[in-house]
Amino acid sequence: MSALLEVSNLHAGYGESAVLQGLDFELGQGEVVCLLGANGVGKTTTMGVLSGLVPASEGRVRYDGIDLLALPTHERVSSGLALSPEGRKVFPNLTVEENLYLGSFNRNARAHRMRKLDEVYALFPRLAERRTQSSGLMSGGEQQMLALGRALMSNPRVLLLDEPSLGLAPLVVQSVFAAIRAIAATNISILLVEQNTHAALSVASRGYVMAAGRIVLAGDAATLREAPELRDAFIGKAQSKGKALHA
Amino acid sequence: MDLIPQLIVDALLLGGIYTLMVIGLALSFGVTRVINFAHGEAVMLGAYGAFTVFVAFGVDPLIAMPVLMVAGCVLGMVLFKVAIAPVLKAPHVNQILLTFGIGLVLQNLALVIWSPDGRSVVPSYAYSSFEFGDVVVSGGRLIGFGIAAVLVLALFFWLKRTEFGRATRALAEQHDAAVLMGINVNQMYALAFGLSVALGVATGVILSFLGAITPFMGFHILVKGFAIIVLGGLGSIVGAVLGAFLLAFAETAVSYYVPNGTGWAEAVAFLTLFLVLVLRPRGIIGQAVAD
Ligand SMILES: Nc1ncnc2c1ncn2[C@@H]1O[C@H](COP(=O)(O)OP(=O)(O)OP(=O)(O)O)[C@@H](O)[C@H]1O
Ligand SMILES: [Mg+2]
Repeated sequence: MSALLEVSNLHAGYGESAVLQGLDFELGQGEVVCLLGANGVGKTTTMGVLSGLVPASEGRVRYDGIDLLALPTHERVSSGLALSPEGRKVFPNLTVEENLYLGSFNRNARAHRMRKLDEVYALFPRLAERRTQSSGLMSGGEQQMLALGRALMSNPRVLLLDEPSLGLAPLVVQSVFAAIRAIAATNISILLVEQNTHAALSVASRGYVMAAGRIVLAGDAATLREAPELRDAFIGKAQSKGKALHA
Repeated sequence: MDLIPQLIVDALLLGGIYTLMVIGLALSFGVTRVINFAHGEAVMLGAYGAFTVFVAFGVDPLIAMPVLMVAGCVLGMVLFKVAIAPVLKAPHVNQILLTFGIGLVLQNLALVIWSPDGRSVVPSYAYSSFEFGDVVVSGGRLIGFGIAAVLVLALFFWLKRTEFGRATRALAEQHDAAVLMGINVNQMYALAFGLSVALGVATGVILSFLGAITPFMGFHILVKGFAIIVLGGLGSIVGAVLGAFLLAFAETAVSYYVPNGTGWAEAVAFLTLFLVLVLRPRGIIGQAVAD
């Protein structure tokens, strides 16, 4: 059986600087898979390429049998791919409910808007309480819930989550991850990018570790938890700097 | 006689028309981040459109207005796709030169078509007036104000309550996130630009029965528009409304209290721009151009 999302030999960067240099990974239907790696290794860039914000220079992404890279972002969204971006990026002067409505802007999702809105409010009662408030006035945790809810409003098959724990207090991280678990239980496939390895491996069944623009390690969650390479990947930068000094 | 009530009424009526004039400029800038230096020419063409329809077919400007606005919107969208979309990522200077150049071309086109002579449209209400206590109210200005108010409120309603209006606000606030919502950005840009031209055209239709129409009227309008934006803040529609009324009050006060004031009133916008740019050279416009 082939995977829902299949990334092969992906290259991308910004101007002269190459960030992704032959990335390969896949995400199966209903799976939660995490993508781990040190600061600046290219996780957000990967999410950008998948969602269409960053162009790929080489490689392929197959999504449900189609060539994803050939589609503009809005068509990717209407075909069921949604990104909750790093730093949440809510629309600060719009109300919570307006943000959620925007999540179902695309025509396919608009038909399910009211049902989805009920689901999101059931998942995050906090958002229901704050429906009419400007989202920019909410706490980081609430904004993260809004970003998740907004992505869910597009009625996605694949949810791309870029560092949902970023800047949140440990207790808030726990409740955000509880929500991610609940979303995963509805058979939505999730690609989860995280710095918080521990939290990520608690919801993901498998994971990949990135270094220098490639996958350097893949395995199931239990294996990755014990893997020394995971620690190395995170301190990889410090090591290479150390080497440079000795050379 | 106490001039204050008259001043307030005149300034309010003028402020409403200025609001309509500047709100199109603010809309297209807020969404596309391109300052349209040809916005005054949209106003000018709206005025000539009303003039032509009035002279050729005897149709009242108010009746011609919806059709002219639709035509303006369509032409604006086409112009955006053909000329402005290709320079969206170019340096601001290039964008400014481009829209400025488009304005020059349109001015000269108007010069060829309608000659440099001042034109005017005189429907029956143009020079009507009535007294309200001590205050004389110009019928033409009151009608202009009414139309402006309806259009500005319609724009607010559209932005607040409709799918595309909401998407427009989202796009103005957070470009990347708007893209992630599945909003087709190029289409929304063209729509916002088209609507801004339509609002400019409506302004021109109103001005057509309030004063002289000339091929170069757009320049004065642009200066007033910038003065308003500098006063009220760029990209904020509420700020633009406040700025419009501020300029209207300043101009009206000058024309009442300064000897030979009507001529000087025209200089208020220049003076405002000059003072703000000298005192706050990194002011609002400066920031917009730099970012
Ligand atoms: N818009 C951009 N223009 C130029 N370079 C960029 C841009 N965005 C990211 N980069 C660079 O690309 C590299 C990868 O960045 P990316 O944001 O993908 O990393 P990341 O793995 O998500 O890091 P983090 O864990 O800090 O979020 C970094 O060196 C970064 O400086
Ligand atoms: Mg990142």
